[in-house]
Amino acid sequence: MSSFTNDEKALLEPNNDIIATTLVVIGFVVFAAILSKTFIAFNDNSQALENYEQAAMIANDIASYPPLQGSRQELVSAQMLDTLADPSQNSQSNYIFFHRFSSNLEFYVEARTDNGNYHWTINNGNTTLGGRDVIAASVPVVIELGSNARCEPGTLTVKVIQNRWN
Amino acid sequence: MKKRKEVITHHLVSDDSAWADLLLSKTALILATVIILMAVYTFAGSYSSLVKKDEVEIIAADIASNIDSIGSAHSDRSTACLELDTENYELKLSRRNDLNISISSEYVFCTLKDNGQDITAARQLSYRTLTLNPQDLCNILTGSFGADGNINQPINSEFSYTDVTDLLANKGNEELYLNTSKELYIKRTTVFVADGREVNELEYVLVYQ
Repeated sequence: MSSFTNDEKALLEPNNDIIATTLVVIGFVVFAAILSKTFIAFNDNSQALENYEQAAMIANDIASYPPLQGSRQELVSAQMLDTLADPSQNSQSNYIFFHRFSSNLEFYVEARTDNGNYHWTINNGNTTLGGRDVIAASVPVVIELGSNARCEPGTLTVKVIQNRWN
Repeated sequence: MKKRKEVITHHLVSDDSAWADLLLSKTALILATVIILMAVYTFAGSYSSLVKKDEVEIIAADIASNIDSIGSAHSDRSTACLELDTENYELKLSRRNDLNISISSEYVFCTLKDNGQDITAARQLSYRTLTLNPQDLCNILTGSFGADGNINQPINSEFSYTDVTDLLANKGNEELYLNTSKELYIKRTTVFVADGREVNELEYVLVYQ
């Protein structure tokens, strides 16, 4: 240590400014990189949250959609799910179900019972993924199976397909 | 003359006081400082435009979420009245005239003119939206189908519901440019279409001023 502090050959001294400036530049570049990375991460997360909130809102809306209700308000009718999942049965119901939503919004709905015995996929026939991101939100529902009022707990999932510009 | 030049060169080369080194070093330092200060200034400038962009995004998201929340309500009594005064958003947008907001059937689009640059933000609407007021909607439906489509006067079964949806898609597709000093009204409405066997309900969100 003493040999370092008592060294009078001044090898470092003439370049002190350059070293100090280099350190400042490196520090600034690191600071700018961290700041921009944090901003990009924040932006991505807030957009993902916004997309999730949209999907969750649609899921809640569909779970309480009056034509889907069973014998009681809190039940989802399996019979109506059958009708919507198979447009060849009643294309009108499927059309009106999707007509409520913006034509620019591409999504499909999956409903399943928790025991895995029943599964429905409701789409309007124009849904293609094409490598796009999908945002999903689920709500727990009780599905009324058949006319004997047999009920099964299940999940209703809305999968929103992102626009290409998002 | 030649001899004098040689003397000067010799003097510079043999000068041990390192003035040239010091001057070069200080000039490089000043240049580096100027470049760093310019970078900091540019960084701060781009940060302020990011803040403005965020503010415009907040306005677009707020209008879109208001329209969506009315659309998700399962009642025709759902209405909302939104004041667009920029002071309500607690934003730094000083001049209201710089902000242009338009609503189409699918998007809310906001543009802020800032020092000759346009800062834009768009939000997709979730529900089928018409830029019509309830009276215009009644007039259009009555004019085309002879019924205004409410529950007491559903549109006659001789017209398929696709006629109604196509007509409203054309008529309600025009962009609504908002006057930010006026309130924005959002109302959910249902058009009833009877096809003989059953009555179908077509749900829309109306946006008007």
